[in-house]
Amino acid sequence: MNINGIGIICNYGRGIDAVKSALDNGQAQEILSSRVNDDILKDKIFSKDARRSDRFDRMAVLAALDALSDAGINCEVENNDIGIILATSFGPHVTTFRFLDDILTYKEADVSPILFSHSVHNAAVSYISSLAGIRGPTLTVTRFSRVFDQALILAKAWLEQKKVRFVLVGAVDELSCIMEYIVNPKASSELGEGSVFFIVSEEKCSKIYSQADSLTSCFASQTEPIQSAFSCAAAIVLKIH
Amino acid sequence: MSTPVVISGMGAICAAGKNIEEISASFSAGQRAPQLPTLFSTALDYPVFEVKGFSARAGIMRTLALAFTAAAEALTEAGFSQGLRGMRAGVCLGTTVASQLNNESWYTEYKNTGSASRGAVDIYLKGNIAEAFSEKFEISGPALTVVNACSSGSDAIGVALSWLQFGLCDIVIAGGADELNHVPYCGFGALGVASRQPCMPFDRDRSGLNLGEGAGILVLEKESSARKRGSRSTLYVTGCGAAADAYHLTAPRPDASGLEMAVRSALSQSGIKESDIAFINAHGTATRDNDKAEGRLFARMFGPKVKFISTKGFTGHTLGAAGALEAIFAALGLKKGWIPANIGFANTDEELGVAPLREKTVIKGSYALSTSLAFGGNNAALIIEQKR
Repeated sequence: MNINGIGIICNYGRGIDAVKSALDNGQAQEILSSRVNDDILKDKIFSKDARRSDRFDRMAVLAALDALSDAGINCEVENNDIGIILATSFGPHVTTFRFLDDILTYKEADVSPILFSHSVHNAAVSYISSLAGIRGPTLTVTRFSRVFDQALILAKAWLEQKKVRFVLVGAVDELSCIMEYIVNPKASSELGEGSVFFIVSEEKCSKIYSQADSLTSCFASQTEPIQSAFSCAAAIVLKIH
Repeated sequence: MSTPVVISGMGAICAAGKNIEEISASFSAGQRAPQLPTLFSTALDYPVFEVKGFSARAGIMRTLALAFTAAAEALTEAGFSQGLRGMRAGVCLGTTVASQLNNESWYTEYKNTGSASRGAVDIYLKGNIAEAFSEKFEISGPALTVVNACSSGSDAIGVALSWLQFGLCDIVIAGGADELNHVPYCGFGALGVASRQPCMPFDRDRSGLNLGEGAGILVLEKESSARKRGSRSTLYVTGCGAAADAYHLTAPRPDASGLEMAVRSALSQSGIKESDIAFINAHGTATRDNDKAEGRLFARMFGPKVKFISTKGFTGHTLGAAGALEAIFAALGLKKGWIPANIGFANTDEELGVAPLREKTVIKGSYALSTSLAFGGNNAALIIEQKR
């Protein structure tokens, strides 16, 4: 399984060059340690059909579209041959709690349908498929540990079974005060947020970063929601730069 | 399909019954009893389908308790009542509610004080259903919870098929579960797709869905493994297709082209054609848009005489459980040789070009199709075979 493209959103910026810069400056441990600046999530793509997307969606969309672009895939041609697997532990929980705010603040009949529809875990993949025109199978999966690893294995299965020629597989998680309270009540470790997507395939495309089989050791022991995906990306960046 | 996959066990719980035989009896009698919610307080007046006389023990999410109940039935039928220790097994389950911390009292306490008791948090963090199944049934293989909204149960079965055919496992527990919860109850009301009447799938005068709850669990197994253990099951999952609408966050693509791609993919994987399908267990939520898109596709692909039903008139829309429950109901239809009436249907909608079955109907044939559509534009199609 080849990695043909990478898209990444982290607190150091957007794209693998942002990761490279952080690694070059010895800041690798800090990549996961804070929130993504909202300026990084500004893009004209959110001005029309995706204007109602939330922060979780935007991190996912930008990394996913960057990975497609990085791989040089023409989605108009390949749209039926691309699948999507998004891995997350907590999903768009900020929107979920905003919807709970609505229920608690207003009458039950006056809550926002927009918030409700965006509180569903697979809203981000819906935006990705709509904006890129992807018509293959799409999946959002969740666990509290090692969810990206399992998503990557499933991507390999899809490719071997020739369900699709390309899989856009990635991990997204959002940080919030309430989630920090939930998963880290004693503030014993630093949490972070971000999004990483990879285009994987069996194809011999012009760009092949690495073969995923050789990267297993990079993330085998990780348990944090998105750390394994970031570790994978960081390992690739270290290898190519 | 290169690796035949047997259904070696099935278990189900929903408003129509707490096990497959109870559900089958309700189907046969044409009985249903939607009513206003009793599991939570509400000023809204949308009827729902609750599982009556069922409660989760303290410290466990209701969704998980429903899933464990269905799993016990499925594992017993499959001959795995002692668990799956030492087996090459995996678990893939769909849900929606169990993936979110939808606990209003906990959230109110947190908002008011900046801290809150850990009880609800612990239940949530222990409530990822695939992880919880792994622990309870000692499953050492892959484990994933699918959160694809209303197609989650079908998609989870699709993941299980991929794992089995990829050679990751010999056995996979697959399915879905969801409890009735106040948050989606308000959400579907806000979207304007919940009905104040008992739902009427595919009816001309349908006015929306009723929410429900339940769990459907299948034990899927490589045929070689099942036969080695002495399983005599003649039910198979022969194909699963999935495709995206790439259209809208909540509305299905009107031409149902995403669903058509999913159905064609499942047919192709099964090596069969449209005329081989004995009946369809449709998604059939009773919303205007879903039933129109789905009905028109059935007319286009399978012709105006196609036999199809929605079982949501008996169960309500069980969200992440729906696809799995309906796959089980499709398998039951093949096994028993009959399917129930599309309860709630009275008047043909001429816009669709097809009408569901009005009566309990004898089924002849070997293949059934089960379809699922979801928020986000996911479409999934499963094909079940009864070998004769």
